[in-house]
Amino acid sequence: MLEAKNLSKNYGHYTALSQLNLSIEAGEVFCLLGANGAGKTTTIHLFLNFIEPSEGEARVNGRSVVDAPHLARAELAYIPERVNVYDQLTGVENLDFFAQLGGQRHGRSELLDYLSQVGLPARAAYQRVATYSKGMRQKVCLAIALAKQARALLLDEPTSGLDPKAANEFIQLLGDLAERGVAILMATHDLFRAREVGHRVGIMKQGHLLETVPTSSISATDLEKLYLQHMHD
Amino acid sequence: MNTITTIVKREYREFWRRGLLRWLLLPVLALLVMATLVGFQRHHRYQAEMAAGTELSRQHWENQGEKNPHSAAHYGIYLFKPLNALSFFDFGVNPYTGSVFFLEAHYRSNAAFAAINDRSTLGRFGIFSPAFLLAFIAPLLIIFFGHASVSGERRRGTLDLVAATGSSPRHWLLGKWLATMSLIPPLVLTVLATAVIAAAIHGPIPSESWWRLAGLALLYAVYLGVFANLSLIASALTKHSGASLMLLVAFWIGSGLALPRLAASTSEQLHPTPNQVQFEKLMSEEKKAGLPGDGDKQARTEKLKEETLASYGVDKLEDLPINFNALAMQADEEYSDRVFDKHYRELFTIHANQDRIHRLFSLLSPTLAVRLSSMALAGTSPEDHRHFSGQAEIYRREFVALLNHNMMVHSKTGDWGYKADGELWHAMPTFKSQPMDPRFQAARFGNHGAILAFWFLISTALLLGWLPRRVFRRSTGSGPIREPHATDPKPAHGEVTTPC
Repeated sequence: MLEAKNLSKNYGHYTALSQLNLSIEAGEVFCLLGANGAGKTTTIHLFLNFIEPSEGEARVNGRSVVDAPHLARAELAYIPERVNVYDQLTGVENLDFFAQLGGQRHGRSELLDYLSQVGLPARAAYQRVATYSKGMRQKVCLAIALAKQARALLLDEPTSGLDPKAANEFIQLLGDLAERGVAILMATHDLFRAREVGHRVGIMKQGHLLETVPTSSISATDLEKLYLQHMHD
Repeated sequence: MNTITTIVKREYREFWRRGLLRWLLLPVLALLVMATLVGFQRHHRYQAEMAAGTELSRQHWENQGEKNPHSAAHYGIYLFKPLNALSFFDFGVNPYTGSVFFLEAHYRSNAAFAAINDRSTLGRFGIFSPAFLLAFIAPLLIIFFGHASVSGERRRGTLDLVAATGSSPRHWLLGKWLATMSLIPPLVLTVLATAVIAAAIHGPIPSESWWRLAGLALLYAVYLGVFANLSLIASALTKHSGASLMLLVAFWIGSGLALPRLAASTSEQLHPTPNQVQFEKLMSEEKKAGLPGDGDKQARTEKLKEETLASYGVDKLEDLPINFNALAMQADEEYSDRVFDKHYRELFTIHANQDRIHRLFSLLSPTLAVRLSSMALAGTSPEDHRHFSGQAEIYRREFVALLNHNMMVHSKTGDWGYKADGELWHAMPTFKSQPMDPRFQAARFGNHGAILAFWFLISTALLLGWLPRRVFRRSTGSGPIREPHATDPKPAHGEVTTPC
């Protein structure tokens, strides 16, 4: 579903991403781990075609994001680190707006159903987003992905700033989405959550994907050791 | 189209919920209503004062009693400049030029009693009219609505979410543009609607003026459209809404305050207007000394005397059947007119050159362009004033000639005791002003209007043609979001075909 082939991004002499090769299947959760500046966000932005690659290509469901951005983005949903939907709109209005921008029209009950599926109470759905916590905003974004029927989800540091309960709820929702066949690429610092939800984790450093590990074959402690080892190398 | 409507609706929802419509738009609309009503009232008060003044001046003239015609020529008569019906909308130069002309022998009249002289110092800061509000205050309103339109979304992060939906950046900008542009009709229509109500209260205005008013509404709509375009462009090209606001306010200051003043001082520097005292002194001296080759006043009078005696075949002035003194006064009057014409022609050439400089500056300042077009369409421009001033001068010359002629044919040379009666005063035709040639007005309006249209077209082309390729560009990235292209592979049957 999501595929990177020799994907690179340079800013002058600075290499933000180097020769990334990656393939994420439908229903798979792939977590990118790495320090700040490792190239995680750059990878996500390249898949979104927010920036153009210097080399290589990113493909969504077989389509190049550069050659057919219209169709590639039709398959994607995105949750940035700073989750900001429109403050002055309610949750349901935000969902309706983004769904319509994506060309989807849903009735009010359908919209409420999507919000309910991601755990946003009906009462909150009619409150302005300005009163929401970050977790609630993320739920609105997940509802947008559901309403869009996105086949791939890109998340940038989704659990940063969430309390443990909210983070746990969110990770469970990601698991549910993956079970529905959504391919998920998540950039995170949170090793524990990455191992919990991810099928595979990739460790990045200075624009390079150093190692990819299936989470089923590694304990949380070993993953942390492996991560720190790469960071200290 | 659905996407665009969705974006417009969201923008309006946000305008409403942020209180922008209540706290910014409504007060400006209220000010426009007030300015239109006050303008109408002021116009009608002036019309009534003008009618009363004209009537009183005529009464005084006709009832001045028996008097020597030359004394009557100095007793004079007042002319009141009629205001165009649209002066309620744009006062133009009227408050500065004055509107009352005193006509008498020997002197070309300039308007006096400028309204601005009756105002307090603070009153000189600006004149409260619909044109002032639309030219100076409404752009600020548009700027406040539009400056964060894109940069605010970028700062909040919603721009990324919008881009990720796959929505077309052109559609998105078009939606933003329509939302901002939709603020303009309420502004101009408020003036039109209030004018209709005010006309019903104070009395009708000529139907031709309604067309002009509609033209003014369109003119200001285009002008405000320029500010809407620039607001969105600045918002899209800056990272922070504070930066776009600063940029736009700087442009507003430049366009509305700095450039018009720079234009005025540059035109004055390059084509200086003569000092009024010096100007009149020069004319007075030239009347006495004569134009080149004409000789001085005494020589000219002597020559006229010889020619007159010869033409009547007499040797002495006392033998003439006419009053030579009146003939000489009329000749002197006509000579003065030649001197006036020469100097005023030079003065008007200076004014025309200054106007050219203003037109050049209006290429850089939409506010200057709209002010010049607006005054031209409202009939309150400097040209309109000069046009009336020219008619007043023609009337003055006819008025003096009639008096001199009466004295010349009804008295003898040296008979300064001759007195004319009410019959002569009643015979004086009343003044009727002729409107300026509409073709000339249309040409002037067209010149400035074309500059404004140029601003609008260029800014719209930038906004909707060039900007969509940049608007979703990330500050950390170097490449734009590529617009969907007709050659992009089409989705297979059953696949998502919408932009997301």
